[in-house]
Order: sequence, then C-alpha cells, then structure tokens
Amino acid sequence: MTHLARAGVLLVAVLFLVFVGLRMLPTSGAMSNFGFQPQDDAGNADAWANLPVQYASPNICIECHSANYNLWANGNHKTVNCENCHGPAMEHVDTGVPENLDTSRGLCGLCHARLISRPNTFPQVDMETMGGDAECITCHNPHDPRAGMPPQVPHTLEGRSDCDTCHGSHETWVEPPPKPPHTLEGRSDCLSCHNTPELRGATLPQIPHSLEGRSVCLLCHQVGGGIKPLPADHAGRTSATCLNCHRSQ
Amino acid sequence: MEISRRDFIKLGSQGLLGGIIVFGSPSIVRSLALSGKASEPIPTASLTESELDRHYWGMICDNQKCIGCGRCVVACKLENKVPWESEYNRTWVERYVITEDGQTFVDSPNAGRDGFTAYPINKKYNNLDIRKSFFVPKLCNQCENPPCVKVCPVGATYKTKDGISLIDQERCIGCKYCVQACPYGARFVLPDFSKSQFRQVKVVDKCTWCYHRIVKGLVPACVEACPVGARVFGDTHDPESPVRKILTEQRVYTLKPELGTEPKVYYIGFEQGVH
Repeated sequence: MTHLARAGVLLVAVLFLVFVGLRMLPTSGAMSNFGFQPQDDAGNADAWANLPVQYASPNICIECHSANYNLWANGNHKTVNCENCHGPAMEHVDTGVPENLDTSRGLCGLCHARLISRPNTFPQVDMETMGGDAECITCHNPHDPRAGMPPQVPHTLEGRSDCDTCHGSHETWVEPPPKPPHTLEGRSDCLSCHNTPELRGATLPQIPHSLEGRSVCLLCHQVGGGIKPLPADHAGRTSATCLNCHRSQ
Repeated sequence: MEISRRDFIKLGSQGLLGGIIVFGSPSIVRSLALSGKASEPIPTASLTESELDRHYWGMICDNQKCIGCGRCVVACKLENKVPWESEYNRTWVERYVITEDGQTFVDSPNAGRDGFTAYPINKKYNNLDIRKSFFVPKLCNQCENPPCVKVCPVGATYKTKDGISLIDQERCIGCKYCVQACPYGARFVLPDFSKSQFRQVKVVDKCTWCYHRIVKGLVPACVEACPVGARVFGDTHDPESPVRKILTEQRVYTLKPELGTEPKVYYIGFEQGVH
C-alpha cells in the first residue's frame, strides 16, 4: 500500500500548493487587512486625478463667442451650460474640431415637455401641439428664449381680475403701474399674451381671418410694411414658421 | 496498451504541473512586473499633502429642483468615458411616483440618459391616481464609512485623504464583492467592450465625483451640466462654499442613514420611501 500512500500524499501536496499555497503569498492588498495602507494608492489617485477634462465651462466659451455668451448670460437660459446643447467643449477648444450641436425638438423637450414629475414652477409645454414639427429655435432664440416674447406679468394674478383697473388709460395714479405700450383695440384679453409661462403656449395672438387661398403670410405682413406690419422683433421670419405660433380662429 | 498505476500517476502529475506552469506563468510574470512598477512614482501630480488635507468634498442633490432631463447622466458618460449602454452608469436619475392609495413606484428608464419624455407613464401605475411624482438624482455617496472599501479582498478600492473612494482598476480582480456591499447600487462591472479610460474590462467601476476635475478646482461634470442647480458641489471645510452654505442654512437628509455609512451626498426634499 505504500505506493498508494505516496501517490495520495503527492496529490494532496499538489492540491494544497495550487489551491491554498499560492493564495498565501502576501500581496500589498492583503496587508491592508492588517492596517497597512497599500503603497500605490497615492499613485493610483494621481492617475485618476490626471484624466483629461472633457466638459469645460462657459468661462472658456466667452473667449471666442462673446456675443452669444453675453446674450445667454443675461437670458433665462443662463443656468443651462453651453455644453448641454453644443457638446463637450474641451476637444473643440484644444483641436478646433467643430462642436457637436444639437438643435432638435427632442433636446428642448428633455427639459420642457410637460411631465407630472417636474416641479410645477418649471416652464413646460405640450410638445405634440407646440409649434408643429418645427425646431423650437425657429422662434425661440436658445440663448435668450424670452427675446421677442410679450413681457410676463411680474406679480400674482390672485385677487386681480381686471387688468384695466391699474394698467388702463387713467392719469390719476401717483405712481401709475406700467401702461400698455400698444393700442388696446381688438385686444380684450390681456392674459392671452401676458400670462404666466405655463399658460402661454396655446394663447399667442390668433389670426383673425381665414387662411383659404393665403399661403404666403409675408405678402401682407412684413416688418415695417405690408397691409399689417409685423413687430420689429419678427425680422427674418419666413411664412413657413408663422403658423407655429399663430393659428387661424 | 497497458499502463501501470505508477506510470499513470507520474504522467498525470507531470501534466498537472506542466499545465500550471503554462497557464499560470503569464499571471505570475505580470504580477512580478507590476510589483516592480508599483514602486516607481507615477509622474505628474497636483496633489500635495496640504491640499488634500485642506479639502473635504460634499454634494447636495435637490429633489425639489430636479426636472429629470438626464443631462447629468450624459455629461457623466461623456466626461468619464463610461459605456453609453444604459446598464453602466456612474450616475442616474430615478422617477418616484406615489399614488393616492399610498403605493410608491420607482423607475429609471435607460437610467434617465434619454430623459423621461419618451416614457410618460409606467404600466404599473397606469390606472392609478397619482398623488405626486418627482425625480431623485443618484450617484456614489462617497461614504465616510464606505462598506465597499472594507470588503475588497485585494485592497483595490480605497479612500483618499480628501474623502473620495476610488478603485485601483489595475488591482481589481472583478470579484464583485463591493458591488454587493454598496447599499446604494453605485458600483457596476465594466463590460467586455468597455471604453473606460484604463481600457479595463470586467473590473468594477463607479463614480469618482470627477476626481480629475475637482482636484483642478472644477466641479464634477454632472454639476456643471445641471441646468436647474439641482446638484451643488463644494468643499465642506470651506465656509464660503455653496455646499457648506446649504448644509448650514437648510434641512438636508442622507440616504439609508441607519446603515451608518455616513454618506456625503446630502438631499433636499425628504419624502418617506425614498431610499
């Protein structure tokens, strides 16, 4: 039986060496169990610390794009980092490759599509009905989305039902609230334009005539001309986009 | 063919030893090579001792401000070269829906990477009246007492002096013990096709609070990208930092405080059932 015992001992020895012995070799990691900090943690932390930066910040963008930067910095989108729409900037800064700009409706909808989960003070619209299929930036300047829009009511509407009480043509106020800079003829519902952002979407000025046989709005409506001129801030808009905001009654 | 028992055992043990040498030598050689390399100082380093001691980072997540646009998730993936697939995330956004009958539902389609607009409602609560709904951004909590660091059998994950838990992915053996240990689900295993910085596969990865950015005085990419200020980052040692201001002026809470992990992500907007 001795040869069998020898074989058994050999087998046990080999198994022990393979499955136990190799794992008993001390490693730097194992020493941390005894309170020793592994040696190369600092080196590894440096490796993490020296990874390349991709997202710059708007502070870099201003160096070349000051016009858009200033528009953006004073607009309602000033909290939206340039790179959310334009893509990470560092490569663009370093090598001059074009930025990766996204102008799609989908991108705007990521923030502004109406969702029950969003805070109700955040401006939201119904993406299905708002502006047809046109890109949002056709009408809304993404750097200053409020530009060209009628001013919002700066106070609560609670308990105030008749705008005319304060904002009418009275001359007797000691310190009168702002009077409308435009004629009130044909405009009875102030809130159709000057409302809170939540209600604005569906209530822009409507077209008072039929659209039958009229497909080119600019024939009659131009900035500073035509039968009924467009407001100055509508410069550069084409017939294709009018119906995004304005509908026929 | 006749073979004696002695010869059979001889042949078998020789084969076994040969196999160990052939298949084991690469890893032995590599570990020898690596042990030599570890003693070399890795060049560059803006991290002086005093600087590390000075900072102690913290983050605020404001559930009341988050709009669920998912720009943080995208920024994180682009900044850190996290795989684009929605299974691998260093940060993600959860949508909580609480119904009138008191049930709580949580979902995070594609981790919030594509926003939530394409997922208006979940089938599970389709027919129920919704009492309220909100978003909760999630990421590594950079715990003061990180369970993930304690369980690592090879010491591959560690906490830096400024309080950030990092992973030495050269040393990680991919045993996933830390993935189990993290109560916040912040850790994941990089896939085979990983485009991670270190070109590692099948090792564990997680949020570093953009360590490469914060040591340079920048904020993490998710904070940079957030359009509504729902994420705030800063040095809790600095009385002027925005994080410190919120910590002193507002009521905050942490996730799963009963576990004693002492997270350093502080949330605003407590709601029962958010974990």
